[in-house]
Amino acid sequence: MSTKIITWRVIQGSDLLFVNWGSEVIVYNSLSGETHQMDVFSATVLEQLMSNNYIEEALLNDICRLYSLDNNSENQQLIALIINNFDQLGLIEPCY
Amino acid sequence: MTIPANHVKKILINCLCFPETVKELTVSEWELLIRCARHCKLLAYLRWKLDSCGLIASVPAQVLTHFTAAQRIVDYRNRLAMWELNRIRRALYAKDVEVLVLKGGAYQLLQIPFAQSRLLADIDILVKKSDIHTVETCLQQQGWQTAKLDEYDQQYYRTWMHEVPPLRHQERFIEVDLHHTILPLSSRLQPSPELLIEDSIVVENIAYKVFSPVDMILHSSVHLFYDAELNGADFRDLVDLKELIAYFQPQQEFFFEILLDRAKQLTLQRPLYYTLYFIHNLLDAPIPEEYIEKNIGKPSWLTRKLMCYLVPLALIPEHPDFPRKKVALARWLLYVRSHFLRMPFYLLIPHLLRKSRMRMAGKEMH
Amino acid sequence: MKLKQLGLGNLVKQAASKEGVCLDIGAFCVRVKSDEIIFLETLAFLYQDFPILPSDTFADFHIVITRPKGVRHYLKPQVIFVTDGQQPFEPFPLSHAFPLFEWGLNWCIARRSHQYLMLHAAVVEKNGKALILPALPGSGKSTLSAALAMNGWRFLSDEFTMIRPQDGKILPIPRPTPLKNASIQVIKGTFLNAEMGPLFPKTRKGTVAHLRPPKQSVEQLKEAVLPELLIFPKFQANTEIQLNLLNKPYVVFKLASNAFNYELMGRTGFELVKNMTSSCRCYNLTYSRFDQVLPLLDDLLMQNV
Repeated sequence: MSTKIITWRVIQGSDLLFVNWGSEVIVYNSLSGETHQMDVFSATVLEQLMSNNYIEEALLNDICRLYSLDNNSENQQLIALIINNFDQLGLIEPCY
Repeated sequence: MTIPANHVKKILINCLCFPETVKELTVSEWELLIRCARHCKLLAYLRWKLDSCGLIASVPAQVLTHFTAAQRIVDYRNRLAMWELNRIRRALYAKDVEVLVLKGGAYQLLQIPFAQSRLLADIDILVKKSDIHTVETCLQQQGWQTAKLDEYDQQYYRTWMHEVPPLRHQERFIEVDLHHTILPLSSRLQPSPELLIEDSIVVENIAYKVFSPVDMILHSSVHLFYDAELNGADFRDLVDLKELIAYFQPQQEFFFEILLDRAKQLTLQRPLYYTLYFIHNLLDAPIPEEYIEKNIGKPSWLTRKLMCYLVPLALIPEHPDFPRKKVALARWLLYVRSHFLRMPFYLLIPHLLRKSRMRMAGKEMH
Repeated sequence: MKLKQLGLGNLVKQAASKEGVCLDIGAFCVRVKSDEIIFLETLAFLYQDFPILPSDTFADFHIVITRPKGVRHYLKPQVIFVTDGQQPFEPFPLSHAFPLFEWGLNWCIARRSHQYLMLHAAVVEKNGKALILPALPGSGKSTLSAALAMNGWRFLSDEFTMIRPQDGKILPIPRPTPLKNASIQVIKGTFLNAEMGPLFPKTRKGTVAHLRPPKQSVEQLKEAVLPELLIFPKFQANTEIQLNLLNKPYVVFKLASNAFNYELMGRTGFELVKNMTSSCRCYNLTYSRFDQVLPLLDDLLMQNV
């Protein structure tokens, strides 16, 4: 495995469409044609990634600052998990 | 009373080549045109053609719904293809390999206007022969599966083909053909993949490369005249070639000279001859005569006579209600020809026998 | 002109001609060619109120119902379905020509009509508001939509809910409803005015008989309508009727997997499903008896949101 730090971006060539129905958010990925359901926090992280490309650490910092969260290991793991999920689903990708 | 086959030929070719003529179509002719265009996968293309000529207003409302439906299918396939390319690139992220996208996928990446109306069947990619194992394994480890083939077909692919057996991701619906050259290894023509890769170009913002414009045209020509079976389903490949030349020619000075030179370098003069000849003669493409007549790929008089008789007969779609026996015969002859070109005689006979046995058993593979 | 007014003799003549018969089924025009009397008789009865269009009308589908070539059919008569020179199915016994036609027409519609979002759902209408009943195994959507159609609702389709992207309206295709096995007797027994075509035993879905669509519904076959209620029905014998409000994200996924062409429609498909889910009232319904479910659906439709 390479250890190089990945800069993440929202998947290119796709529009992500959001529908917010209270506690659940639906996101449509126009490139994959897939429809996803996620909690509001994950959706917030995704929106943040739409505004900027991020390495994991910077994303954590910004999310914690914007939403007044503790920058602790628990939240770090949460962000890492969300990034991994988004990558698997093809909502985000490394900058090539 | 018009002969049905000639009627089809007239309205289909007219509408593709002289779009103005749609203004004179009767409702029944529209209906026939739509059925034929759908059959040869040119329905969305026809819409694009009429649209780009400002003729959409002449299309009856009911016909438009068929155009819309056809365009949706094309959009869907194109989206699947772009998504697949995205996933392949992601899977190969940590690998240092150069990947070229061929044919429809390439036209799409380059955003050649007609490609938005072209129905894409599968994804073709090409890598250096030395990389093919890495790429195949890497994809297999990440969810792509090799089509289930029996031993004969496995062996056939590995030994004689220019690609590995098709791959498909377990969650998706598009096949990926992974090539290391553009023609079967047993084929009579052997254009050098190194030369093609050397001249390939990078697509902006995308980690993929594509063939240079002239190589794209040569590849498509080889594919049609040396690899395909030349039946009604291949007609749209000829339309592709017409559109590719129409698109690239104005972008480059001395385009035809460059194209002919490159064909010579790659030993692809013969397929290029056929392309120029048939897009000029069947699809009214404005190709200066000198590039056809002086082409050193021009076949002998007899071959020319035969091909000029058989190709239009086999390639132009039939009237759906009145198929003709001589067309079936022409298609069969060209089918045998395509296999003859793909492999030496001592391989061909056992292969065709096997395929005909498989056909009878209802197990058609290709 | 209606098919009924054409008369069987003329239908037979016209169906055998080069142009065939152009049948207006609402969202589409179908050109039918056939020389099989047994098929045409059933067609003439079940489609009697449908308009016949002049032969130079643009037809969306071309269907030929005929005998296969070869000698085999002299021993055991068979019939094939051909569309645009293609024969997508194995031959059927001659007696099952009509179910073959219906099945093949469904196949044509589902494969080609991507100008619309197509839900696999029955749909009926009252007071200008449509009720959509998506199909799930065991849902009994055909039976329920047949019961509604016999009970004052306008029948739009038992199989396809065709949604037009431009305005989100549903286009009718009020074709005969194929009722299966026990449902045939249930509908016949409950609604004495129900008219059915012949019984077709031993189809792949068991015994099938087609319910002739109400005349009024066929007369309105060009009237599109907006959806109001989305109800996922489930037939369960001997249970009390039960209605549960559904949460919207759940409905989006249910509809996405129910539609024939959600993926294919791409963004348009997503937006239609999203809008429909937003604007409709969405429920799960478990029922066992018509005398409970019919008034309940009437009431539900009348309720103001």
